[in-house]
Amino acid sequence: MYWASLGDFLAMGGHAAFIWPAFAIALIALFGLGLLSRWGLTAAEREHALARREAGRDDSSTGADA
Amino acid sequence: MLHALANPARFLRLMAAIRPWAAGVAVLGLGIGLAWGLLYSPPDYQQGETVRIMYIHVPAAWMGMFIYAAMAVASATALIWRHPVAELVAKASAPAGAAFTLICLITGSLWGKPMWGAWWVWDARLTSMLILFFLYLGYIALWEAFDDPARAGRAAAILALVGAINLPIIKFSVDWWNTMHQPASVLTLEGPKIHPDILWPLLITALGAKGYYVWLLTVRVRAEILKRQARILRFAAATDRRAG
Amino acid sequence: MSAFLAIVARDLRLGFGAQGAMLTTLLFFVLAVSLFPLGVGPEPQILARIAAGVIWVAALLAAMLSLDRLFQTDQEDGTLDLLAQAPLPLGLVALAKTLAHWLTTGLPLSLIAPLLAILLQMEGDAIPVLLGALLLGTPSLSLIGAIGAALTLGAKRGAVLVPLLTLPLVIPVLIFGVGAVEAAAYGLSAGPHLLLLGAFLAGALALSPLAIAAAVRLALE
Repeated sequence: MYWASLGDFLAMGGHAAFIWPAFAIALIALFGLGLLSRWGLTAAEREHALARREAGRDDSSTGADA
Repeated sequence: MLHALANPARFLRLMAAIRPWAAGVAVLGLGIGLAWGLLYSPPDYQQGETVRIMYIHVPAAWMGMFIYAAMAVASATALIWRHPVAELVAKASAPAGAAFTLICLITGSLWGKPMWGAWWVWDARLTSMLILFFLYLGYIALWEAFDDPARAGRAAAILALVGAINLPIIKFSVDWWNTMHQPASVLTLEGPKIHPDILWPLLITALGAKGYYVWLLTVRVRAEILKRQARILRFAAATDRRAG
Repeated sequence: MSAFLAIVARDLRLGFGAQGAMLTTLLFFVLAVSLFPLGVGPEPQILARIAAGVIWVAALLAAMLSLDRLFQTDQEDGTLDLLAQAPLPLGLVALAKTLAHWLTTGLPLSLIAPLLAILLQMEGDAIPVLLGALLLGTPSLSLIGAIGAALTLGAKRGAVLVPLLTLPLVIPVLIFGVGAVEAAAYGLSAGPHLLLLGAFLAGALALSPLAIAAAVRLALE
């Protein structure tokens, strides 16, 4: 463990104002994109189920429920 | 194998099988890699602690370039063999590539401020990343510019290939341009020579980032396939109703 | 070959007309360049220092202006379908149209650039190199731009998209174009830069008709 105390760790040698935002922005961006994609998938699933019901065909050949 | 994947149903089943593993690699890789970089690796004798930004900056740069290459390969497959799913894989990859490139630019800027006192430095690599980011935006914008997805898919595939051919030339010209206007003392972003304590966290984080990309791909490609099938079903239903 | 020239002649007639692309492109170029002294200030040293960059960036933007209409008008009135059945392969049709586009935009821009270079206090012996570099570089702008124009055929807001798709791809032309002029201004040899511009042009001449033809074929389906 490189750091002596939690305080040192958070201070990051005086550069906390640059290091923490860098990591925060990166993780928020990745997490946000992941979330957006998940919502996009649920919307697509609903749209697909709706379209299949409308078409009256219940073929599961599309492997939609895999 | 390639043509086996052309069948969306089989492709969806493969994606569903991969997803938990990709999620695992992503969480573990990013978690361990970044923790190692932040907690255990030594600071740089010159830059001090700011070098730790490298553990997110460098993998993001690698991913930005890796994903564009993957998009070019998927686009070539889509164009040459009319592979329907490959187009959607390329479309699903673009947002991830753009995100990683943007992360690389932002973290590069946050790294540059304490080191050179400037939020943006026209370093050769950062400049190439900025251009790569524009290529991603152009690709995504082209997809959105058409009503008919099939038309958009092939146009975007051509653009991705044209971009991929031009990228090395752009990289070469930017590197040359940078040496021409090289201020004497600019410390390159690479900074410390890569010795194990620094290399391992980088590689683990990069692996985690790849896991994240694959996981995101399984989610986004599935959504694209389902949307396309819904569109076809609705289209077929509409024509049946008109015919009936 | 006569079909090739026929297409070029037809586009030239359209381009040179009053509402053709040439006039608007030239006016934009001259106007954009003359704005810089007003913005940056008239000091000769500063203007001379940025002259090459200003002229090249303005030439790049001016070339982008008329690109989106390159195939659009033909598609709207159906001539694109006729051109596709011409005895010429689609790649050569694309090359003919791109050549006509260059003759109505790139060439006039290059010919008027020395005048603007004087406006911007550029070094005397750098001006011929500027003309040479522009003559070598602007065809590449038309070739790569034509790919963007073909790709956005039938797209919503195609006109906005063409610069977004094309400008990142022509950055090498900008860098070596300006590099050549600055080398001449500092008394160095502009040879290598011009050679690289020529190499880029050769590559673009060989490859972009393929991409343009593929993109146009998409629009014809």
